[in-house]
Amino acid sequence: MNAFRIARKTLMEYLREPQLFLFILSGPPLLVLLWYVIFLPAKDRLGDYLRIQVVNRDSGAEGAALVDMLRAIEFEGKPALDVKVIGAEDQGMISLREAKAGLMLIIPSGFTRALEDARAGIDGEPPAEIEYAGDTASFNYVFAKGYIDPYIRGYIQVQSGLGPPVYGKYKFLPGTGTSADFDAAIPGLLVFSLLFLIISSASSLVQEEMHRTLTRFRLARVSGFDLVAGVGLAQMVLAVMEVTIGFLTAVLLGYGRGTDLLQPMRILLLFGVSVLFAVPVVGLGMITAAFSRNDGDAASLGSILLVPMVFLSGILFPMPAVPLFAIGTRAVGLYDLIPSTLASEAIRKAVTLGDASALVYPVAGLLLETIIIVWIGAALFQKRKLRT
Amino acid sequence: MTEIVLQTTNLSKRFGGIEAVKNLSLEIHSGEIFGFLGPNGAGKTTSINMICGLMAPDSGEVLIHGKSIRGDGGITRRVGVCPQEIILWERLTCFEQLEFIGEMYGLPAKEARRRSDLLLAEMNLEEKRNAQARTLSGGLQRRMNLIMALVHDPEIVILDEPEAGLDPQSRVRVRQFIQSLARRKTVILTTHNMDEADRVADRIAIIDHGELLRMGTPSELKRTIGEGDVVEIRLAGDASQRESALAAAKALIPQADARLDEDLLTVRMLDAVGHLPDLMERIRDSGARAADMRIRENTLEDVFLQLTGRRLRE
Repeated sequence: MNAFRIARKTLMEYLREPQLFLFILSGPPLLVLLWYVIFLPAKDRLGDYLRIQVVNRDSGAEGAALVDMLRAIEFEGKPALDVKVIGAEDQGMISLREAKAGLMLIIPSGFTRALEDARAGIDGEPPAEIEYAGDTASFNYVFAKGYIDPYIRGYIQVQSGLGPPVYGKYKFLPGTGTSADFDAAIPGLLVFSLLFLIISSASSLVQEEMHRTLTRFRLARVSGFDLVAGVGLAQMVLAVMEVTIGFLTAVLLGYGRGTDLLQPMRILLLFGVSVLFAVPVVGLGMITAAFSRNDGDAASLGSILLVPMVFLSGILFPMPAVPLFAIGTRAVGLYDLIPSTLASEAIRKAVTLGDASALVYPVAGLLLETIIIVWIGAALFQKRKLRT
Repeated sequence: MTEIVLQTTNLSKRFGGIEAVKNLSLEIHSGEIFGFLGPNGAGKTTSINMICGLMAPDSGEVLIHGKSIRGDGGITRRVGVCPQEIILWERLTCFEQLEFIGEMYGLPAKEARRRSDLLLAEMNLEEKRNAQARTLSGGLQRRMNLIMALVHDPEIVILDEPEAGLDPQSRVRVRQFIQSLARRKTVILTTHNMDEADRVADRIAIIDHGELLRMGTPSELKRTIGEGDVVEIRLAGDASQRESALAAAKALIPQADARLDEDLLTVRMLDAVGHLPDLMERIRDSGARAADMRIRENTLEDVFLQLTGRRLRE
C-alpha cells in the first residue's frame, strides 16, 4: 500500500513541476517527429537514396536512351532514381567520395555500336563494358547497383533483339503491406524513448537523497521495496503517457495509414509490451540511483546503461546473431540478454503480426529479465541507500 | 521513580580515526525533557542518529522499553525525529506532507489527515495548510520540520537543534510547543544553546568530543561548580597587569574560583556583592583597570567551561 502512496506523491511532485513534466513527456513525440522529418523524403522519393551519376561516353543514341529509361523507372508511382548526367569521371569520383551519389554509371563509347552489332548478329569487337563505379562497402552503392542492374540488363536484352526482358516484382512481407521506413521505425522508437526512463527514475530516487527526504523514509522504516516500487509505479504511469503521446503523434504523422497497423489488437499489444518494458527500465534506474549521489551522477551513469541498450538491441540497426544456447527450437543470442532487444522484438511482432501467441518467447524472456533486474535494483538501493 | 523509556548502554561510534561517540550510557525517563548539551561536533547528532536507528553503533545498544531497536522497525516507529536540517518535500503542501509521512508511519489515512490538521493548528500553520513547502519562509519550514516528527503521535520525540536558525517569533512558538509536549511525551533535544537547554530541559547531559561529561538537572549541574554568583570583569591593561589582577583576586578570596580568559576575569564566589569593593580595589592596585563589570548567576556555560576549559561556542 505504501508503494501506491509513494507513487501518488511522486506523480504529484511531477505535476507541480510543469516544465520538467512536459520535458519528460515531450521526449517520444519529439523523437517521432524527428524520425518523420528524416524519412519524409524517403516516403515521397526513393530517388533520394538511389542517386546515380552517369558519364555517357557513347556517341550514338543508345547511351542517351538508356539514361532516359533509367529516369523513367518508378516506384509506387514516383521516380525511383535520381539520375544526373555529368561530363567527367573525375567529377563523379568526387561525388562518390563525398557520398553525394551512391553509384557512377559509365556508359562506354561503343555502346550504340555494340547494340547495333548485336541486332545485326555480328560478333563485334571490342565488347562494350558498362561500368558501375562506387564504394563497394557503401549501402547506397549496393542498393543502387542491385536496383538498376536488372533494368540495364533488360534494356540491353531488348535493344539487342533478344526478346522481352524479365523484370523482378517487389513483394512485401505479410502484414507489412506498403509500410514505409517511418512505419517500421515507430515501434523501435517507442522502445528507445522509454529507455530515457532509466535517467528519470534514477533522478527521482536520487532527488529523495539530495533533498534528504530519504531520511524520512528511513525513519519511518519504509522498505526499499516499497520505495522503489512506488517510484517505479509512478514511472510506469509516465511510460504509459509517453507511449500514448508518442503513438498519437506517429498516427497524426501518418503511421499505419492505409495499412492494418492500427488494428485494436496490435495497438493493445504494443501498449502492453511497452508498459512491461518500462518495469526493467525502472529497475535499471534503481541500479543507477544506487550508485548516484546527485542528478548529474544519475544522468551520467544512466547514459552508460542507455547507450548499449540502444545500440546493441537492434532498435536502430540490425545486430548479428550471436547464439549462446537454445531453448527448444529457439536460439538464445547474446543480445537477447539485453531487455531492449526482447522488447524491440516483441513490439515489432506485436505491430506486424498482431498475434499475442507470437510474442511468447520475447515476452517470457523480458519477464525473466525484469524480475532479475528489479530484484538487483531494489537490493542494491536498499543496501547502499537505506541500510543504517 | 518514573519508568525508563529509553536506555543506551556503552554506545560507541567511530568515523575513521575519530571516535565520535564513546561509551555513551544514558537512561531517559517517561515524560521528561532530556537535553543533550554540547558544542558543534561534540557527538550529539551521531548519538541521536544511533538512538533513532538511522545509524548502527559500532558497539553498545539502544533499548526502548527494555527492547533492543536493532532489527525492530516496530519499536523505532514509536520515536519521532525532527532532524537538524529541514527535510521537507518541496513540492508537497504542508498538509500533504504531514498526511503522507503519517501514512508512511502506518497511520490510517483518516487518522493521518486528522492529526495533520491538529498539528498545523497547534503550530499556527493553518493558513499555510495548502501552501507548498518551497513557498514557506525558513522559520515556517522549521516549524513544519518539527511537526513532521509528531504526526504519528510518537511516544518519544527527538529534536535535533530545534531552535537553530529560527527567528525570534518562531523560537518562542517552538519553545512553547516543546514545553507543551512535556509529560505527554518523552522529549530528547540536542542543542548547543545553553539558554535553550536551561529553560526547557528537565535533565541535561553535557557531551563533548563524544564523551558524556556530566548529567543532571540544570540546577544540579550548576551546583557542581559551586554556590554563589559570578563576577565578570573586563580588564584594561597589558598582559602582566591582567595576570596581577588575577593573582590579587585569588589572594583576596582564596575559596573563590577565579579565571582569566584573555581580558575577561571571572570570579565565582559566595556574597559576590559584599566582596566587590575590595576586589575592585585590589585590581586597581595591581595596575589593571576594570573597563566593564557585571554580576550574574552560574550558567550551564560555566559548567561546560569548568568541565572542558572551553566555552560552548568556541
